[in-house]
Amino acid sequence: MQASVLGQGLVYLALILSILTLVTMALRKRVAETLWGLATGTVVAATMLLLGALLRSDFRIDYVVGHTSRDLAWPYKMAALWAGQEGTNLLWAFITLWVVHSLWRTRDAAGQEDALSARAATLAMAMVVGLMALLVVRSPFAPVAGELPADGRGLNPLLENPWMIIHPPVLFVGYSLLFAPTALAMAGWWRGDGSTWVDLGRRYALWGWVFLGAGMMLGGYWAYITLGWGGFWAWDPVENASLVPWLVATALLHGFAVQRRGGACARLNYIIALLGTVVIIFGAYLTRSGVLADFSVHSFADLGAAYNNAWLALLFVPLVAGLAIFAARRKQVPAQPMPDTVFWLHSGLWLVIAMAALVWVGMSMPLLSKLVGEPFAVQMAYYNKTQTLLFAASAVALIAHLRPRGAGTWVALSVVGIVAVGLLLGIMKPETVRSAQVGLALNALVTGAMAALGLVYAFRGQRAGQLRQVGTGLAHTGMALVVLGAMLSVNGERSQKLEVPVGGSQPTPWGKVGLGQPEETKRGRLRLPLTLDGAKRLSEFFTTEQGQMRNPVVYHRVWGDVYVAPEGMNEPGLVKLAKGDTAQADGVSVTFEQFKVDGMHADAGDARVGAQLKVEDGKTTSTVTPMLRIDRDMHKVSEAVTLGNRTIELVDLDVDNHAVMIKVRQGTGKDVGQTGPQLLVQVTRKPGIQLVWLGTLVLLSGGLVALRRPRAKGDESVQQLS
Amino acid sequence: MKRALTLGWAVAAVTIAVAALHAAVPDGAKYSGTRMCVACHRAKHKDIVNSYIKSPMANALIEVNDDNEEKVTQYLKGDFKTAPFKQDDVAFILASGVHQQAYLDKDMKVLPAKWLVADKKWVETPAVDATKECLYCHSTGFVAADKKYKTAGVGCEMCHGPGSAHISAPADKKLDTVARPGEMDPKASAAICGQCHSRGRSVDGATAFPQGFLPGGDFNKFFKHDEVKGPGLNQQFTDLVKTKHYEKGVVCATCHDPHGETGNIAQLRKPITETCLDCHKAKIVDIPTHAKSKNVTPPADATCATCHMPEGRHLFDKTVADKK
Repeated sequence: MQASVLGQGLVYLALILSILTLVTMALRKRVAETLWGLATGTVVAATMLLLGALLRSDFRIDYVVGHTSRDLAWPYKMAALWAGQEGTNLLWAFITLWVVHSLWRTRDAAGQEDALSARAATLAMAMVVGLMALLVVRSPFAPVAGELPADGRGLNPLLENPWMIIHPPVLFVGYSLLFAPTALAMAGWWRGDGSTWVDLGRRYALWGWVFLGAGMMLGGYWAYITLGWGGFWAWDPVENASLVPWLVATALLHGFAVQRRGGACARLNYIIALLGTVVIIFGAYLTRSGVLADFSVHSFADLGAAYNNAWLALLFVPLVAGLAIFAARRKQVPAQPMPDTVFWLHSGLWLVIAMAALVWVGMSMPLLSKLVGEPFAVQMAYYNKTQTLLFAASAVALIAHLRPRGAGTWVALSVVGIVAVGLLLGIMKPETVRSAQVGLALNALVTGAMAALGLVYAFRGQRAGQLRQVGTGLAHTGMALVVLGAMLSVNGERSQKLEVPVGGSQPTPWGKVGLGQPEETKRGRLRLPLTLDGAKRLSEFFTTEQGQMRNPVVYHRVWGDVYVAPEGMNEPGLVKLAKGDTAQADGVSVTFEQFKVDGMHADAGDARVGAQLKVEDGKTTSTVTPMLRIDRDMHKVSEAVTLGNRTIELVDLDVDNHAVMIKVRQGTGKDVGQTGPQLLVQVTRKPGIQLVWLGTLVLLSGGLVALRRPRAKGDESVQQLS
Repeated sequence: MKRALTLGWAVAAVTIAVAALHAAVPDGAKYSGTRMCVACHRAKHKDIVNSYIKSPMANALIEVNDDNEEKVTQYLKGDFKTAPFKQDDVAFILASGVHQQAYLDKDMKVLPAKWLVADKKWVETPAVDATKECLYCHSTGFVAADKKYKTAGVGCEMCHGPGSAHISAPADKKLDTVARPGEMDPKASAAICGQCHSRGRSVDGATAFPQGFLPGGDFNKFFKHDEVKGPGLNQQFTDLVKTKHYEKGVVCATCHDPHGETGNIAQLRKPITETCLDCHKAKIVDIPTHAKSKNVTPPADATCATCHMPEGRHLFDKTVADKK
């Protein structure tokens, strides 16, 4: 049978089986387990079938055509499973099925089925049904419309990268795991119990937080080492769609910490947990529905109204159900008074919520602004300023929470006040150099203090045998290191543009940048052997439908990175000028004034077009008109002109853009300089950038340490530093 | 007074309408020569220029002079040892020699024999005045009265109109000052090819071509078709105007590509049968099935044209095959 037909059948079967699983789970029937197995088996079969089709280049299936091509290496053919929406939905459903299983399998102390987790598993299963419905609306096995194509459209060349194989699945594991706290919260509150769910909820939230964080770091590192723009985070909607759930999970973890210290924040934690799932689905809707097509370079293609509405249903059903449970059970979960000891922890929690909210507002701005008028997107500066300020404030809150013994609340408050004013001035009003420097210095100070205090906290936890405290300390140190690394690399960045001749080199303050002989690969990419003080690395440079791709080469140094990004091959002295444009070429300023046509009405003779140019060398201004002659055989013959000791040539015309290509060289006549092509590179010094990666590793290992189960029961009590 | 004003408005309106109708090629434009077009458009249309240089169109007329020796050697096909006239008399080579080649003397009179390329022999040909019978279609910008052309061979301006106004136009008027057959009514675009691919005479009978016609203009004001019998030769448009294809807007450029090199016979965009079946596949599956239903046995290498376009005719006659 044709893979496409079989696959369609499997998708429908999987939906039916998951609905049956959901129903039998809700009714607490034994058969539910068998049905879950069948549903999972069907999804696995569908995934294998799709993998097979991808590997065999079965171009009868639209998804295979859209995301692979015959010449693609097999690991990328496999990775194409998560290159498009339909494939990732399949992957997502599969992972969520395992989260369901994991919840379901939870046993209480007596080894009996845990009623809370079982109910949460049912709710998570409802999410699987939703994802399955998406697969039916938009199947990965949809056949190609019309004629069978000879070859596929290929994987987006951006994605043809080893990181593509690991980055997306890690993110999706994170998303799926973060469904669990929502399900647990709803299941707990359903019974009017606002506290039991917290223990298990924390484990899932922490696992999801680790996976989502790792996924984001992989994406950021991938962007940094392959895309050539020199950054690792661009506040793009696709990035924010992962960051907001991660921040919500961060907030939830802080909320749990408060709730464990006296029961406050029970209601808030429920709402945060509910938002976890809502922001994940909202992010998916935003980036996958095509609503941001005008605002993000990498939102996915719009797959039609039915598909988009299915996402909205998946968004609103849990939201409405969750709010209904909240309204119904609110009175049974009484608000507890906030203990004084958690004042600063509670402040930190709200600061994280504010971070998440502001990123969410920023990424949703195209939609939100559409409600009131002309849609627009926010600038990068919006995120940079608000997040820096909030982070600095949260660092101050952390310092105040862990403040040295004996320092009273009033001392903490006054320090916070002074620092806050400094930061506000420095970050929100960086127009004056001094306030920018003050802001930066204060920011670095509080972030550095946060890193140090986190380490101290972790160290004390180690001494006390408190793994959870060690993890918490490390996570905060890691986060501070990430921010320090970002601050150092962005503010300490120095950059130079160079023209490196083929076979030659150019000095920079960070080493000598050289270029070997560029080679064209079989796939039409330009392979550039770059060197920094002799150390050779290969860079690739090619043009795709998405624009020019420039793989940078990165040299790691003790103090940071030297980041060498190719910007294009260039012929010295060659400039392209539209009418009226002025450009510098070989030390003179050339302005293209107008076209000149000669020979139009002559009966015989060659046709000639010229470019009338104004040439200024700082002292004199002259007008010259180099011409291009078309001889009897339609060949172009360049008629260059000389000006002083320079030769000025009209190389070609681009009449569609009313532009000319002009080349200015030293020398005249036979002595005219023959210079070869040069590579334009941007060399950037990025101090402290390793702190970003190191910080992320520390942050995530902190999460993993905090996940270690306590060795003995007594370990659960948490020791306060103060 | 009022009547005069009304009349004035009417005249103005008619003038504007007529001017608009003739806007395809503005009055007063002069031919500038193919090389002038190439000078600016070469960079973007390299492929077209490169295939054009080698095409029969570009070499429809070759001047014999010292500057052009290479081309003359390349294209001169006749065997002048057996010719009824001396090679030295040849001032122009007429046609690139795909099928046959004729020669003109310095006064643009046809020399009395033409060379059949495949048969490798001379046949007599009337010594007509090429300025009245030939040169309009072998050159670009030809004016019979002046006995002068702008470019030897069929160049850009033959179909896109004289280029001087386009060259001097400001950027935003460039597109309005050049004829763009692809944007025209299909019948108007077909008439552009019809300038030369027709059999008949000018309306006044003086020439074998529509002297004065410009792309986008009214062809019938300049030319009267003959009744054509027998095998096809330059009669394509004369045939086409009688067909349903023409009525429905299926014209020359629907099937033939005026630019580049398609690699198909007669510069068709696709091979013959594929071209026809693009539209007719609803009723016709393939040639064997179709022939069977008509009780005929076509040769193995038959195309649609074998029966429906015999001898290169463009009548697309349904009954042709039945008659045979």
